[in-house]
Amino acid sequence: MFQHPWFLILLLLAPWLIWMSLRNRRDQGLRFSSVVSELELPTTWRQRLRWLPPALLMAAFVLMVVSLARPRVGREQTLVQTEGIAIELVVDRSGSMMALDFQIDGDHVDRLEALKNVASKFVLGEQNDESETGQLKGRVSDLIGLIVFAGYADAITPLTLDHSYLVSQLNETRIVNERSEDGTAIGDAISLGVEKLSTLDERSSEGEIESKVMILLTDGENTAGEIEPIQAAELAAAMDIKIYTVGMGTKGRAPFPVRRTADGQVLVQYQMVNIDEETLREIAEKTGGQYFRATDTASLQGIYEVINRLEKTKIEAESFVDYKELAIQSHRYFGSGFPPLLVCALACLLARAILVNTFFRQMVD
Amino acid sequence: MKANRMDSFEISQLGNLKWSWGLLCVVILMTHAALWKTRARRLFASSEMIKRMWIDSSPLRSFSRKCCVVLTIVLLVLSLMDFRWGQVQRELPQRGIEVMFLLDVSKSMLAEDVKPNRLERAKQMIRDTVDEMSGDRIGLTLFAGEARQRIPMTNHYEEFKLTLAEVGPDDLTTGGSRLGEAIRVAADGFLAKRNDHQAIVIFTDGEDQESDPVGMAKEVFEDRGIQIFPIGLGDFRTGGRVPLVGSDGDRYLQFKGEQVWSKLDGQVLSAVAQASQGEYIPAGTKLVKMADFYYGYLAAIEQLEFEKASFSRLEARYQWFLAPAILTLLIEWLLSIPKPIQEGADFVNP
Repeated sequence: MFQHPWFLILLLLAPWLIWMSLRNRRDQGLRFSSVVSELELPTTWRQRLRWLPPALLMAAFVLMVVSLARPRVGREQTLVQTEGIAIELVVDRSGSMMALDFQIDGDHVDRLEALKNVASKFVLGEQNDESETGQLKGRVSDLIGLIVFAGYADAITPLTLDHSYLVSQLNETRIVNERSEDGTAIGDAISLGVEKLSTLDERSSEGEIESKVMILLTDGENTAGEIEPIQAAELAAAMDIKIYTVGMGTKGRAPFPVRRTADGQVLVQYQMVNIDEETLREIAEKTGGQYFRATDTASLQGIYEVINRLEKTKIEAESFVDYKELAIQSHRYFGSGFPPLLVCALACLLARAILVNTFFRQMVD
Repeated sequence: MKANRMDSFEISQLGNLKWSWGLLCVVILMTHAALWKTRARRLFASSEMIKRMWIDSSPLRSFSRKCCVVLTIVLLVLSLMDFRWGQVQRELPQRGIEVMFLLDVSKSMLAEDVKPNRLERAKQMIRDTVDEMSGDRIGLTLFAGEARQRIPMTNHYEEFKLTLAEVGPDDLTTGGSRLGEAIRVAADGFLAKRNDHQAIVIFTDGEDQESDPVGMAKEVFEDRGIQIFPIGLGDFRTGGRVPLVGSDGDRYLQFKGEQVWSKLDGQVLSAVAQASQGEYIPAGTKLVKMADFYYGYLAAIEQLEFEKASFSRLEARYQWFLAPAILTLLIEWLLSIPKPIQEGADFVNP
């Protein structure tokens, strides 16, 4: 409980000090011939309370000595987070993400599935096998948020350090199946991301966020939404937010699932797809980011590795229990708050100083 | 609290600078009292007599006492500002329990017999409980006609509260109140392998639809030692009407032309608590002090040591200001002890 308990020895001074001031106690006064001392004067409340200032001083002394011994308990939930970066993952879930032109371990999967796979490695780090050249270590100390969009943009998770939660939310993301919601609102998605990243500073406990990054992943052209992508990019540039854009999918024709046969085979049909690479490149350039093109899972992972290298964080963040210094930090115990010991000491000293100079002021001291 | 920090130096509690107002106040009063004293002396005696009467008062001593008082207060304010510098490696065991909050988000939780409504009250109670915690892991599971884990076990309390504020009946699609299933989903959400450090806290109005919560509670307690603490919300005598979402507040949920009055049903909840050696808290419409709940029940559960955290923090240095403060305090005290009366003084009081 006490880090330096031997300082408590100083408390022995207290009885000595009391004894000293009591021994030399006499009524301070003026030398003055008077008959007042013969009169029977009633004791005033001021006289009765004369012990108060010295008692306050005594209390302050004891509190200060106890504080010097450094009392502390391991009950401070701390979140250390300095110079981290904030990354907003902006993910397209429009109907065209269904195209089966990506592979994981030899199986054809749709684009969203491939993205989930790579993005969760980017966030959590590669844990599975060490034989692979694991470039992705995970973004332990960064605040990461998730925005998905199709015809509309939704913020799925706030910017958070709780990455397992983020990944579970990412994995629950589904491609839109209602035609009315389909579309690709790139501009709206970017501006929602800008809003989330720029309001971050108002949240107190996070410390300073040094850089803010958005990773926009899409496979199409801006077809919905109210804001033009370039306008949104200019907004991001004004807010000092960097956008990496990733265009996903093969050029030209891509296989789309049509239906499932009775024995589980998926029939595909080739459709023409188009990525507005010009706009994506321009968005990246305007905000100081970079444009990438992913045509298969390997290149997608490569892109995340490049981004991982480009965006370095210095200090790791963790939530843990630290010591609480009872002398200077307030403490909650059994539901009631206790002020720091030194605040009590200070209050005693201030009260004494004020009393001595007002109600108990003396002509002689 | 926002900290001003650099790599090697930080002022953690700049806000305590406000105590300087107290200091200013003291300095003003001291000056005022000193002026008063001089004036009072002049009124009392001529300057000739002052010298004879105030023989044992020394202006120098009085002034240094004042300086000491001011200096002590200045040093105390400085130590309260919590300067920290110098990285120190610390190792601290991280211990706590795992608590899964199981929150009913069915429509009946919108009843306003508890202000502002049952759901908001429950959220406030969860926040109050979390405020008492340190080191514990917490999670959130929502339930109505189905159950879903909303926040996995975490110790990021701030994130937890942010997400908690956003949940509501819209998070789940199936209406109803299937408590038994909810208990099963909540029990699956615990991370720790060892089970006797875990608790589920249920916030509900107690209406269950045949999902055998008591049997499930018994099962999770016997298999895994999870204690369950149901907290019942809502009026258990007259109940409350359930307002319809989107109406202006005059329209309430109806069934066969009659308004539905939702009441707190404590019997199931108290049976659930009994089956898992937990405790049923019939909050009703009253305010329950969650701190008492935390220290009374949750804190009593044996803590689990998660891991030893080793971390490097800036060291608190308030003692560097506190030690000189104690010194000036002592000096002032010693100066305040009056000198013994000199022999051969003019008069001595009898």
